[in-house]
Amino acid sequence: MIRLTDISFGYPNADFRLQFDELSFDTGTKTAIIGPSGFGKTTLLNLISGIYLPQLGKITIDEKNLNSLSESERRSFRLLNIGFVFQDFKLLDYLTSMDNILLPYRINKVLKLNNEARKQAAKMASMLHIENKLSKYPQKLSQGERQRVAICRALIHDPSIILADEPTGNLDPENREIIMKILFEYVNHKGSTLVTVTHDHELLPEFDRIVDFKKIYKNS
Amino acid sequence: MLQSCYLAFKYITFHRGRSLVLIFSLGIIIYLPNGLKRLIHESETQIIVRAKTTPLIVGAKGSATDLVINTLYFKREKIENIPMRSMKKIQSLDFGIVIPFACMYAARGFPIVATDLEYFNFRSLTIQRGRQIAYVGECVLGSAVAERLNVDVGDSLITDSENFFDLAGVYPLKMNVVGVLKPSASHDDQAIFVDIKTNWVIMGLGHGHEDLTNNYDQSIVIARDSGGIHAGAKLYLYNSISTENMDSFHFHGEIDDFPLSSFIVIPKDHKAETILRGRFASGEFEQQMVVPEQIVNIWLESIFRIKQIFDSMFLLVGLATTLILILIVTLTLRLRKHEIYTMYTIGSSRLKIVEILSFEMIMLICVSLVFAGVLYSLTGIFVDRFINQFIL
Amino acid sequence: MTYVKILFLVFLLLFGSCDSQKESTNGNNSNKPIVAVSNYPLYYFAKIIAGDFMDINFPIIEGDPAYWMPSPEQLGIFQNAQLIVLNGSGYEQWLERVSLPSSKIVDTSIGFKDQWIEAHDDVQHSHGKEGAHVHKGTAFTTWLNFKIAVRQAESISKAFSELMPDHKEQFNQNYMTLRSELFALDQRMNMWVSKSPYRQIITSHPVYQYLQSGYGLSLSSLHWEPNEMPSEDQWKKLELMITDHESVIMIWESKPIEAIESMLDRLKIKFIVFDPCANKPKYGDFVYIMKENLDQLENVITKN
Repeated sequence: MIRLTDISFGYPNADFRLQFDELSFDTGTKTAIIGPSGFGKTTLLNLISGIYLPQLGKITIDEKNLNSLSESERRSFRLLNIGFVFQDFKLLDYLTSMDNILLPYRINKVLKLNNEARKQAAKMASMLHIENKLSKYPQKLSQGERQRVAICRALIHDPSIILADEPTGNLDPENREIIMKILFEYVNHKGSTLVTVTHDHELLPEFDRIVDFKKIYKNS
Repeated sequence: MLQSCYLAFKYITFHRGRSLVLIFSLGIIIYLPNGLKRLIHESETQIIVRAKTTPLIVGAKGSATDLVINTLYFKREKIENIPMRSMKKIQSLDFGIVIPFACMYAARGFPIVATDLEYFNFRSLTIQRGRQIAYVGECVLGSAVAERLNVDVGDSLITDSENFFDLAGVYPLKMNVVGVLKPSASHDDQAIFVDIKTNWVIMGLGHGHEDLTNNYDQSIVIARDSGGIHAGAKLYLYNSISTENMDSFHFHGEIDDFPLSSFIVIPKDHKAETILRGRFASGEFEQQMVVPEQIVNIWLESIFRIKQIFDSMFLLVGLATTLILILIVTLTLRLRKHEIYTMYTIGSSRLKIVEILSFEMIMLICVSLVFAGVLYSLTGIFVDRFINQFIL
Repeated sequence: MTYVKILFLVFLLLFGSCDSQKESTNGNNSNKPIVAVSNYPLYYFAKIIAGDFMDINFPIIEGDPAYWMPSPEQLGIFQNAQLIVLNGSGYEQWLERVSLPSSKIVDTSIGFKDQWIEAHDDVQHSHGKEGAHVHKGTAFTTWLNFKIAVRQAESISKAFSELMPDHKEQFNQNYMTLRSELFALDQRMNMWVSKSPYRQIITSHPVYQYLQSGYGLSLSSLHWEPNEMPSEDQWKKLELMITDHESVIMIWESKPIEAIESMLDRLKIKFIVFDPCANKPKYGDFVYIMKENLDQLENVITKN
């Protein structure tokens, strides 16, 4: 379970401040976070993942207090437990699809790149029907294919938490459906926790819970 | 580490064009000061070695520099000729080995060096293909001449006309190429060597013609008297020397009067050198004797000045390079902000990102160094040209 | 034990091969300096002076070495020799057509340049095997004046001593032997001149200038070949030259054909053969041939 209590976070030299009393996500649930832009939805994801630490308040994930971890511990924690899906995919243009999928293994020693990992990547790629795109560079892929590669990268190390920041924002309706289906299937199958920031109201019925940021946001 | 290396390599190879431009510019910047330094250094050494191995040169009084340039570097400076007699005189004094030298003509742009076989021993020049000069009219080529003119043993070379309107003057001579010398990494690679007598043939002092006394076509002979046989203009003058007309070749006049550009003296010992130099200094001979090493030292002073200019220039270039490199790194970081953020979000440390970027820089610099190294190793080829262009 | 055997074998092989190599190089004579000479008298002098210390090369030449043109192979020997011994004074006409290292050249007549004889005969002739040639410049059968031959030998000895200073003594000794032989010939020649009643000497070719100047003879030259019967005009010219048949003697380079002999007999002109010996003789050596020449000269007087 992810629990955020008495949170107060602000960026240096900026007026914006994210403040709320409590927010929690049960393990194995699918949560959609909605609300207007500029209300700190992405900031929330960055807090959950430990990229930022709140100035006040406490974040625990499965009883582990993120505040008490060092930066490198948080990084390793993130790498081992969290998968990120971005609106603009954030693929590295100079790596092939395969190399992009394996990127988590190349940037931190906690994940060991071995044949197992490569096999896993190939398996996931075939599940997402991009097995014949593995040697291609991102610029040669369609938007839907790119997001599928990005999802493979997010899920390759079997994370227990998936943070998705408007994953369908750049996709056409057909791909939107496919991508969400993949994500939901994975979460259902693995029992992972999914937190998705979305503006796509058509998708909302598929989620277990919807958090409207406008309501919890305490703007002073 | 290996993974960072891999990512760096991927980045460089993906952005090939950008990387190549960087490698090229970095390579050139690294190479230029070093290459030029080497060029200057090797030119210096080559000049000193060639001067030191040529103990004494005797030539007409006048510019000592021109004399040395002519004898060591085959530039056809306007130096006055000296008669063969002057060389024989020194030879008869028995102070050491005396080598005749004349560089007055050219063939297809390359200087014709007329000397005798001793010159080849003296400069340690050996034949790579073919054989040594045996007869008048034959030549052996420096390796660069053979290569650049694409001429080899068995071919022939025609001497360049000195003056197109000089009707009474020099007939071009067709010389037979009988050998090609091994490369010697000196100016000798860029010359065509002939016997000194061949030079005189080019000058028109010696020639072959049809046999007048035994000639069936008597229309050639226009007069016979006690003074000899006079031939008309119909008499054919050979412009080549072959086994057929070799017997009719002869010189007109006294060989002792025939010209040389200079001659090289290799004294037997220090004592012989001192005495000989003393006798020249006292004005006993009509010619001047120069010590190439002394003349060359004057040129080297000018090289030293060039070197100083380059040094200060390269200091500035180095500074500019550092600034450019800093700019490149900054721009790269800005350009790759999103990529860096992605890696950081996924779980990469800042240090890891620095590591990857450093590897990229290191790889680029390494390849640039290799490129600069290749250029550096090729520098030797340009030493001769450098000497020709900037020093002589 | 086997190790010792193998080692022994290796030693044997090593030393065995060393020995055989040594032998082969010795057999080549390759360590002796090579000297190239341009005519037979020089060869004879050089051979005597050098003894066993040098390898004296005189190419096989057909005809007169003065009109020789070396083949590339023959020239190669000259070019690669440590010393090139030349007669000089214009003898080697081939010299102006070939390339030689001037510092290796020993010109044996440079030392007596003041005594060179100018050859006035500049008419062209066409005769014999050599074809047309022009006699001009300087006379070159220098060795026919034996005093000059001694000087030529001396310059050879000097050059040899400079090339191999360790053997200077030996060269000098050999030279002294040669010198006394040549002086003996010189003395005989002087003796003959003092006794000889012959005031006019006609030579078949103008090659005896040094004999003439060295021994004070009065010579006039023709251009007759020993194997070609001269024309009537030429015979007439000869008769016009002769002032007193009793005191004339004709010198030939080699024995003339019988037709010439009988014609000379008819004209009561005595003749002898005086071989200048420029090329290697068919028998004997230089001194032997010169002695034969002198014998012939002396015989003419005693017969008289």
